[in-house]
Amino acid sequence: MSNEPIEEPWNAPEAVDWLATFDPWLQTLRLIHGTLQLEVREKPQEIRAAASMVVMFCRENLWPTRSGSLEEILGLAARQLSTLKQLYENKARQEPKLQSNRQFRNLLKSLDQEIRILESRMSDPKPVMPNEPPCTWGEFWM
Amino acid sequence: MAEQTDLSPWIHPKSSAWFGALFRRTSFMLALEDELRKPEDQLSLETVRMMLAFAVMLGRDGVWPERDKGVLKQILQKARDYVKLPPKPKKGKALSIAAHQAHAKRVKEMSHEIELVRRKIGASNRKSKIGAPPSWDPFWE
Repeated sequence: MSNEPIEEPWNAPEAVDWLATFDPWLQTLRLIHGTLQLEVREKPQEIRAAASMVVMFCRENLWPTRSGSLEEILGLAARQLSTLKQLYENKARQEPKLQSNRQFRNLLKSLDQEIRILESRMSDPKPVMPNEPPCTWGEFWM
Repeated sequence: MAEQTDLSPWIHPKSSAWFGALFRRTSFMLALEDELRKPEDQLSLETVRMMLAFAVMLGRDGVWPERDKGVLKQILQKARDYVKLPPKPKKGKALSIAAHQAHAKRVKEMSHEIELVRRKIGASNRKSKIGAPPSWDPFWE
């Protein structure tokens, strides 16, 4: 059997060319970027959704960029999620009952994991990361 | 905060509405359907595999629009058709043994990706635990 490893679907040369010219995908990436520039206080759920797309897709070849870089998008998503986490933490200070709510703590933990994944992609050298989805993402592969 | 067991980024109605608007504004699903209609000589195995990757990542409740679930099935069917095809010679040259072997590995990998999508749409009876396709790992770095 050939020892050449099989590349990820988005790194196969034909797929790279297709992604770079598949306009609906390029538009999708522009809209994600646009959402990430909104005010977190006003659009928290939309921003977390957009950041989840960055976690999944912001990779070389899968996220073709005409301007800027992957790091710009990764950094923006990480900053917005950090702001969102701060908002939730502020809320918990006003409503102490939240701090003992298991689901709420899980949400904060997941936000931390999402931020860490984004930040690790910008790090050089890359830190060793647990190879698992953030804790609120469920059975991701199923 | 109300007790809620699923706190994934796509579960909130506003998140779900955002995904719906995203794919509607970009005509993403319609465009995928158009791609899938292309004849075999204009649609490579690698492109079909990339569409399958979209289905693996986006094919979940709250993300993939309910009205477009048929597109998931179309991607799945196209991928199943393509893995049955013999490898194509490039530029008219006969394929080397190494190229045949690489094709076999790619088909094996796609079979894993196909199974992931089959489970998402409830088309698989398999209950065994399944993880990321080997070539995608480590995915979360």
